[in-house]
Amino acid sequence: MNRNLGKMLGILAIAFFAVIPFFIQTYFMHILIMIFSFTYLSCAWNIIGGFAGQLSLGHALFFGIGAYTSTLLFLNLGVSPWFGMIAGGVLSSGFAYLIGLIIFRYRIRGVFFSMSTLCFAEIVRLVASYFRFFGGAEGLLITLGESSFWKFQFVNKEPYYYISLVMMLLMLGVTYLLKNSKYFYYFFSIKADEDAANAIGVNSSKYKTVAYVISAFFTALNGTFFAQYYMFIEPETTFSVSISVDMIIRPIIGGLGTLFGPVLGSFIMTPLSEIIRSLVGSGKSGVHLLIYGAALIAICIWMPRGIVPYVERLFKSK
Amino acid sequence: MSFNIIFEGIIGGLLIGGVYGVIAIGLTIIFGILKIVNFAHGEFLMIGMYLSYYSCLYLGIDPYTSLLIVIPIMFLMGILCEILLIKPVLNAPQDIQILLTFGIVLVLQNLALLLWTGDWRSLTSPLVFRIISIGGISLKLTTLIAFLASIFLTFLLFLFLKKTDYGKAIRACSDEPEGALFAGLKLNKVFYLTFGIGTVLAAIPGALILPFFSVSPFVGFSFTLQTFIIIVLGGLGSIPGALIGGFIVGVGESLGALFIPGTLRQIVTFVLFIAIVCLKPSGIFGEKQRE
Repeated sequence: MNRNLGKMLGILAIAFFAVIPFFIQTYFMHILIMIFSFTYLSCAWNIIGGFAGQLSLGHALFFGIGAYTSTLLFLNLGVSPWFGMIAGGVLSSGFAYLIGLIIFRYRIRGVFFSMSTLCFAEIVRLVASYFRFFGGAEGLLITLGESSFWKFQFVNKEPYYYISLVMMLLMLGVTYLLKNSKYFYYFFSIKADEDAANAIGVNSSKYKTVAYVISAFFTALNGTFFAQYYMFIEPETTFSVSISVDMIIRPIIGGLGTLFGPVLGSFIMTPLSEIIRSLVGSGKSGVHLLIYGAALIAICIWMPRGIVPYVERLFKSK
Repeated sequence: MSFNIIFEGIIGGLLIGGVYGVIAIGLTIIFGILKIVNFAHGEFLMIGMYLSYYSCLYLGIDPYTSLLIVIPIMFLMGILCEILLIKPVLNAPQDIQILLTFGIVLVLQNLALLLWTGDWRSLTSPLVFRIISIGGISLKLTTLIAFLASIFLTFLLFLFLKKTDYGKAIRACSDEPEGALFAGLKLNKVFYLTFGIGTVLAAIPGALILPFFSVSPFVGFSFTLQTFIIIVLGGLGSIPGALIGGFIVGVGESLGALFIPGTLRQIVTFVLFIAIVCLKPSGIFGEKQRE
């Protein structure tokens, strides 16, 4: 695609989404907020899963750390969730660093990496449901007050809408910068062939940790956003496999490791899952996960590289 | 804590370990032949448990007789699964294979949730509570049957692999896939048969443990995890390794249960998995890890 045309389209899209809240109902605004948030999360996951090729199945861990850090700081010490958000990001990166230290150091790869990340998320979920400090199995309710930017709580949906839009744009900016930095080439070489990357002097465990830490940091920020949006968190949902799957499915459908894959994936899957949820009722029925599973299987069989690379190739072949 | 309780714990662990061993053999032969790591192995076990549960409920039979229903259904399901889903990704990169089997996990789990709700279900037949004592140690009859059946099953599988033509074909494909192809073996057929057998080896233990294990749509994952621990311990692709690994995990878990309270017990499995994957990537029998 022509570079200027792409820029124009991008600016047009941003302008469109900036004014659209004035014309739509709250429900549609909710769906758009979900689309933006999941685009954000998918982009964050895409850094480790897509760029570096390490399929983390336990990103709910970082999401949950973000949600819990800001909420606990706010409830116990009255700290503004905005600071809590940063604190959550830092804590989450710390966790990612430690996990990376363990699993990358011992050269855990492929399916064992995926399983281990799932295990770490499950361990933290069980610990969080066990202790009352985290609200136990009942969860934590964020005390409601008046709308306030400082407290990150609003009666209307519009502020959440713009916050999620800005967060998504920032995240896209971060992935864009990352994709054009030298780090991307390190990540890419590891993804393509880790042994070969090591042989030519790329310290693979170091750069995998870098990707993991960055990814964890940004994932956590959106955990705080979700906590403030729903004003309620519980270990069973915040640390759930379901949240991890939410982050994985979109980049895979859109195109693993591409810039716009997560965006496209989110614009397809999020409305779909929201519609299913509203048809079937509570999110615990699992119907949306059933659809995700089927979509995952279908993509792996027919379009293993995702939609974006597929479409790109169609254009090139003409 | 008396010595007797610990001793009973060890015996109980060995018995259940034999069952774990069979589950792990199922996963390991699939890996040995198709070179694919099946995330959904525990979910096949879960489906086996439900099939057996409902056969018992509606037909009034016991879980052992229900195997006559469970085995053919699961064998067909495994074969279909291989032909329709696994075959297209056999030559794909490993991450695609991981994602595909993870997709199967999601589908089976949530299908079970939809069909049978998330309630825990368990059999309540008089058989369940029978206790027998041998030399001062009391054991549940059902655990003992599950163990004996597992050992018998392993023996049957061993005979099948050594003596029958199909078994020889499977071993040939495991050892030297290209050579087997040149020798005129139909790899396709060997692949789907193996996958069918692997699936059945997950489903039979499901029916065997049903008398003393409740089933819910999400029991599969913890079994998958245990199975992974076992095959990492025993060495990927090694059948005797899987059996020995099963005993180790069974005893470890049973002793852990004596010292660690309820909810936290699950954590032990997760921590154990990470620890073992870190420390023992090549297994007891030292078979080289293949990617």
